[in-house]
Amino acid sequence: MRLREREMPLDPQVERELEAIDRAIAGEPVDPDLEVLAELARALREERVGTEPGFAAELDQRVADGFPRAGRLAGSHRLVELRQKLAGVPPRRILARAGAAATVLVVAGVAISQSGEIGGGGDGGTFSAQPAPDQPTVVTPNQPNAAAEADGDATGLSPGRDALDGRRTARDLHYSGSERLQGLIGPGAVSNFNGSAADVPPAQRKVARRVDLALSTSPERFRTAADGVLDVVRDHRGYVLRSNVSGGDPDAPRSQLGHASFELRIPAAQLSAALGDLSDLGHVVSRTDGRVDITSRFVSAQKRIAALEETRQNLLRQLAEAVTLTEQESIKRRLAIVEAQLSAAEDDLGAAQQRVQLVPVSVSIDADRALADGDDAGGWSLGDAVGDAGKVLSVTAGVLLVSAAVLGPLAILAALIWLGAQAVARLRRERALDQI
Amino acid sequence: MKAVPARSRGVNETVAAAATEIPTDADLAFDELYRRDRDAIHAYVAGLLRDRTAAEDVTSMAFERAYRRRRSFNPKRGTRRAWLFGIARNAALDELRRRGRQATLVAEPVDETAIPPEQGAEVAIRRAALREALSTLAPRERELVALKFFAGLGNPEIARVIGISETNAGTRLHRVIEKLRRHCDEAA
Repeated sequence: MRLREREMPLDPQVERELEAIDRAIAGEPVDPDLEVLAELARALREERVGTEPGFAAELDQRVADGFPRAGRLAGSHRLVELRQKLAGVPPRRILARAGAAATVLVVAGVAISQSGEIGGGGDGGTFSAQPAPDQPTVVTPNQPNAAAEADGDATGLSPGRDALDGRRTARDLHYSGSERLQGLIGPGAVSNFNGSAADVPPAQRKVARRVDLALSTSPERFRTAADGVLDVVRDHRGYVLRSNVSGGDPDAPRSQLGHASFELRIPAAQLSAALGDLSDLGHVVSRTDGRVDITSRFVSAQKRIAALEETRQNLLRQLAEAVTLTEQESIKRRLAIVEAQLSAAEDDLGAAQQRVQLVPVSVSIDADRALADGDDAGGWSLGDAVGDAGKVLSVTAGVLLVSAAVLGPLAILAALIWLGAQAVARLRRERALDQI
Repeated sequence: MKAVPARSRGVNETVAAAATEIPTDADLAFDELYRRDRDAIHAYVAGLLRDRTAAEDVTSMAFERAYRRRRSFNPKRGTRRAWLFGIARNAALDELRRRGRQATLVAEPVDETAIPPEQGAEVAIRRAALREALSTLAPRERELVALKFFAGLGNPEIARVIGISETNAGTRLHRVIEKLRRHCDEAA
């Protein structure tokens, strides 16, 4: 509509009269035929309301003072000043500054959230420890340091005890039951042997651990890493139960790259250090640490041994008191049976003890061409930095994308609301003119 | 020869001038705008509201708003004068809305004694007729008269202030003049 009005020129007579009005207001002469119109314009001009001197002086003073706000507190005054400054800044600049500040905040947030992941090259794999909450760790009197035990340094007796070899000498016949058990499971644990497994205090419970470790390394370092596993096992007084190493040629196709798996037994006291050394051999892809409470197995074996020991002692006494040969033979046969059962029970206890003392560790190593030579040595190299930077950038981009997805519609909605409010305010103001 | 530092003598007063802010371009432009258009704004608002007291309040409010927003003025959207009159118009319309919610606006009574007696009876009659004619105008028409004759705005500025085309502003203004002229002729 406005376009049409603009396109339609004013009637020449109307234009002439409007010009005459302008000339009359400016005090200039007009054509005689328009003198009446000029007179009207001059009369209208004289109808204007003049400014009262008092009001003019007051307004002049306020303008000179910069329109001070009366009765404001200092704090709110600063707020007002800030608002004034903001009001004076063009919206484009505010948007640019707000955007820059938001970007800095987002990047800082991402950096903080990523700080746990970046740094430390070769340790970017997953790690999971799964101690059962109802299976507490064990601290025996031999290893009073609970903190050290929590790292797997103390889980029971030290290896090499006589009882572990399962052999009994003739001298064993003169051991009392308590002495025998003490030799099997160590001092302190015997005191609880009459109770149930549930009665064993947390510090004396027997926990069997198991660790699965998956490593990856560059094809060039695959062989070194596989050999390193054996070195680590030897250094920590463990042994290799099974091993399987295949491939290892750096130039082989991807499907034939090296793969190695080891089933190890590491003394519990050495587990933490051994795992640290094994992790240094390559890039840790995953690590799983499992624990099982086998205290009940210990307790039942102890009870069985104690009962058999008592039976054996009785039989030995009966043997000493036996008079007839037949009676002696009968008691010896029964004694042989009891001793066989006792031996089996002790083997069972020894096996349980070994399960606690020697932790099964499963290690797998895969050659991965994506890992550059030297990147998996454990240090934070340039490759790690590039990888971390890429990770940070990708997460930043993701955060920005999600932020845009959330803030975009909100911004559009806010803009629509603002435009609507502006339109309504304009409409109400215009309507005020019609309602007088 | 070694110079010995001496204390100044005969100085018993230090005069320090208060540090003042260097006025910005926006400050200077506002100052010039105020000095040039203070009376025009007041005349326009008074013509629209027909209430001298309210006109003074609205004029003061309009200049305060303009002062607070002086740095956000965008020359691409019109002259500084049109911008100022736009602010004054909004303030005046807000006042009209406020009054509309409270009571119906009553026009100021015509002060007959305002006409100098030396101008004679004919002039007094003509002016009374003109005031009568003005009172018959619709608010939008009266606003055009206020902008054109009381504030002294040109047609392009009027168009910018009330948001219509320049041609439309000229046409509407001509119609209002014709209406006033007819009314005055009939009264005569």
